[in-house]
Amino acid sequence: MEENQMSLISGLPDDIALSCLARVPRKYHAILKCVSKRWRELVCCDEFYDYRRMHSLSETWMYALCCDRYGKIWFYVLDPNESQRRWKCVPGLPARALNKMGMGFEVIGKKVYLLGGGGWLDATNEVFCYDVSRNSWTQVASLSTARYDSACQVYDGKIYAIGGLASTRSDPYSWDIFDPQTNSWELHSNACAVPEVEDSIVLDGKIYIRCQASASTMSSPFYAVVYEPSSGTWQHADADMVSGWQGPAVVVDGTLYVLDQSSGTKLMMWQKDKREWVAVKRLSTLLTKPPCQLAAIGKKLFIVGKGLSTVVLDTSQTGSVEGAMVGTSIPGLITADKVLNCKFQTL
Amino acid sequence: MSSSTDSPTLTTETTQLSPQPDTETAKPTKKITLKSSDNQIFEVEESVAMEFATVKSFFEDSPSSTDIVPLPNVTAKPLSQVIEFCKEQIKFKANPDEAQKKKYNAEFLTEKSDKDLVDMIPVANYLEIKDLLDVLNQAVADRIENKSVEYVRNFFGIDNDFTAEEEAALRREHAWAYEGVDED
Repeated sequence: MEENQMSLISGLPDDIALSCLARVPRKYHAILKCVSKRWRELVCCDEFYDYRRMHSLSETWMYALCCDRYGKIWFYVLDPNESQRRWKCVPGLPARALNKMGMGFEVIGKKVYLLGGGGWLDATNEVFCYDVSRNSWTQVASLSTARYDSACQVYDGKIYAIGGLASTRSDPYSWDIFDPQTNSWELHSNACAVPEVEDSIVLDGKIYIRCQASASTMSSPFYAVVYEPSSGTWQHADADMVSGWQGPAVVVDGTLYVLDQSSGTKLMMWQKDKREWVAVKRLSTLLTKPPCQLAAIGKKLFIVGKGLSTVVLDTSQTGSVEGAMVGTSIPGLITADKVLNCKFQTL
Repeated sequence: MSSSTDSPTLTTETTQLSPQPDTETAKPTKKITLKSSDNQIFEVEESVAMEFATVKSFFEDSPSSTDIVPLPNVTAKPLSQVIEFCKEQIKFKANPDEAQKKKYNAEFLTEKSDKDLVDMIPVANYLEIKDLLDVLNQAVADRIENKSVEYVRNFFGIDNDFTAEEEAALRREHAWAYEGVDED
């Protein structure tokens, strides 16, 4: 911050003013931004969020990408700590991202990224970035190649966009790694990489990618590969684990959960030590409104269904009897339709 | 750090004193004289004055000083409130009671006006009383949450440097954030 500018609060050094304003809850930051130009800059700067993180003031919100019945993309936010919890639409999605299915969706720091997307014929390599504090969208460095429905995950502050079949693409067995510090993508390839992706998760420092088992040679209809970013190696995933990965998945506090939507909705948990899937809870489809996506904040698991109708379960209550999880729900919206992806962001 | 535990002799003294408050008056405790920028004189017990890191280092630099400690950046009113707060904190230090301390702090803050709170922050900062600074920062943050932009500007005496168009645009952009804001 420049010294010759007016102080944030008259009579106070700026660092003291910062330590005061950083204590204001996140939902009021939009109001702080309107007070003066210097306040707006403060709420947009990294120092403000560094301070909040270092003093355990950060709050986690959930972002969701949806599409309506006309195929139009919508962007929503939820503050799970609000007393009257409800999803709110965040306007201003870039026009070129409005009708693209299959976009990668990731969060790093105070930025949300939308990567690639489109379809077989019109897939794109464009990447859009939403700065949450500035409430503004910009286009950032493009993927090295067009990708849609790629496995998109964050590991160690970088975005991995793996596979994602597109007809115009040169190498189907490739992936891109984005470094937000340098705003650049790095192309990698390996014959073990997968071109067609169904779903992906990060578990124990590895990216698990569930694939479309199109190859007739596959004995099992389920098939997954594991990529370890630290060593750059590829492996096949544990077949027992993959056998139960039959729906949206999320890792809560190091444990993998899957929502089995084949008959009703059933929350399954992977017991790593026993290499077994156990049913944790059966949920009424009237409540969950499938098809659902999963997301997690801390030990809380969010099941987000049609119209963003959301069921929140506390996993710290599990491990014992089925049905012991304490659940609450957040009403859905008429405007939103199908939930494509949910991510949380801590600021 | 402003904690008086840095100084072993002092800690012993306060621990001995506090269980029997009567001895406090019986035993002559060393007083330290502080002078505010508006020339008011404050006599405070050494243990309280040593809570102020700035005063403490003054004596560390010149141990034999018997001078009045000038506080050129501090006016009398917030200084007296800061002293009041620190006196109580010394008692809690000797006799830890988190519940009582919380209660006292809450009462202390509730009865202060917005201006009192804001005026105490630079004093706590100048005297380097970290605990009080944290308490005040949180109290001010609590008072401005859920308040309108105008309220926050008035609270701190901040001039609006946005043009009418800029401000209107900002407000439109964050329309959803304004729901349920307290206008007073």
